[in-house]
Amino acid sequence: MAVVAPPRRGRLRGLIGPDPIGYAFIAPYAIFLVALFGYPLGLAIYISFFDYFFAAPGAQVARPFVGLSNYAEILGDPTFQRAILSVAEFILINVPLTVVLSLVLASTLNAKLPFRTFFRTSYYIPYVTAGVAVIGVWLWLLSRGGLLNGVLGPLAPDPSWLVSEFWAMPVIALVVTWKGLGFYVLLYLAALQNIPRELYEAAEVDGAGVIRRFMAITVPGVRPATTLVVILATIIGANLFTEPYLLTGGGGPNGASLSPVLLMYREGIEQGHAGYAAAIGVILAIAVMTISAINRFVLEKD
Amino acid sequence: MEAAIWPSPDAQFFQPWFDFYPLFIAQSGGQQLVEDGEPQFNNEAGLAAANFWRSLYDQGLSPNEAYNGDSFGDQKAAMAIVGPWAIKVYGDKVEWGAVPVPTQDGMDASEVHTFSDEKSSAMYTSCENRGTAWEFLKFATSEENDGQLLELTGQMPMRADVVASFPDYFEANPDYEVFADQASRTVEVPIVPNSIEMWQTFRTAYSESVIFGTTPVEEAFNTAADEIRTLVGGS
Repeated sequence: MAVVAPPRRGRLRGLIGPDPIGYAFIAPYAIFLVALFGYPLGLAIYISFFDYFFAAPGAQVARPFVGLSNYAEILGDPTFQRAILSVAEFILINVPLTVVLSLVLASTLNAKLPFRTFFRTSYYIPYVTAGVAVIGVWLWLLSRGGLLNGVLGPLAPDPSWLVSEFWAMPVIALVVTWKGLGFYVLLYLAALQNIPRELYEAAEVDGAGVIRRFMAITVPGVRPATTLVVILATIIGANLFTEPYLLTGGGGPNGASLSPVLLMYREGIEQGHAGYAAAIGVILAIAVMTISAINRFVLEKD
Repeated sequence: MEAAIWPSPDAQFFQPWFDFYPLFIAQSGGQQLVEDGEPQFNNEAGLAAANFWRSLYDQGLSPNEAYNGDSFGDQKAAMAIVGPWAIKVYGDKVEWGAVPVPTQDGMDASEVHTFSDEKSSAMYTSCENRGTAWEFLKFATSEENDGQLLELTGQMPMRADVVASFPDYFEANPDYEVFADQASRTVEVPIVPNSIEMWQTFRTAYSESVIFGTTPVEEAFNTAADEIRTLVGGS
């Protein structure tokens, strides 16, 4: 019996698969991903190893290689350490609150409610409204002489919410939770459609109440969505910028709400320390990926 | 009316130009934040200006929370530190008068220096057509075009004697004359290495000591001065 080597064409076939036209279909997104995410990410990692400087096109400037010294400097920088703790505080408030509120709201909106479409739209509106406009409203609500303190009267904190080192970050976490809620409600609403109605009926026959049905059927039923919500909320939370920049005047009071991305903007864009800022970005990206991996591992294991 | 004066208490590096810096320049008789590599803001004049602002925050005459809008235009603050742009903005909407910023012992207005927030043009060394760019810069800042800038915007052109160069304008718009007079006694931001980092360091110190009062002013300013000395030394 003779052994025949496979023809060269076949090996190529094996490599590109039976339907090479598929590459043409994924090409636009792949190019988009590489050009707008892959390249900048690679560049950021590259910049983080240099004493990098943004200069006019064509200008010759020295950008010496500094190895890991940007990283060493950042990890020892008390401002960065404080920013990391601030954003950790933010995530610890924002993520659990987002999961609980959006799941409860989604379950409610999934029931046969009067004006259901109206409510579904209402929760989505803050998500699609420009952050800057929304912050104007919150400033009006939360300022010292604002609506909230007017309602609270003598119970209003002193110093007021946005200038209190204790309250600034929790308040920002609440505002961001409120703003993003509509999107997460939508994710949960989609996930809820996959839970068979019979499960609820069977549980009801067995005498399970509303809370029992929610805990025993809804919560496990939407678990893949919960993984997604936790990971997305963590990533978006770690990139916190607009709210501390505008709501608390550039990370105030006294740097109590300075986030790592705001620090990155300050260092990289304003002060021209591109290498330092890029290293902050890389550290942040690694931290977020690690947290996401842990989240996934914990949430997806049975 | 909620405040005597309500400058932005925000933490951005440029905010001192609109609260501390004009008062420091006036009080010090025209010093820059840093001169010959040596920080000046923790000298007697600097501390006087800072403690003046501290007393305003302390007594609640200046709130340490940002105003969501234009505090002076909305008549929430009695005063504001402004440039000649304000004349067109406030016009007849508010009943106003303008004076140079005050000093501790009431220096005569004709001697008071101030910060102008000057806008400059610059040419990159990498510019390919420097001759043309230079001619363009000269054209854009010629007397005729400076006059046009003044006419259209009310912004003071950078000229040795603005009032004498455009007498017709100031005769027709007397409100601008007090600003034009000040234009001959302006101080700018120092041109130093790490300039923005320097201002951010200063703002952070000012924020914790003057605006929020968590650190004594002199202590915060001295610490910032040490950091800034190193920064502008070019390291």
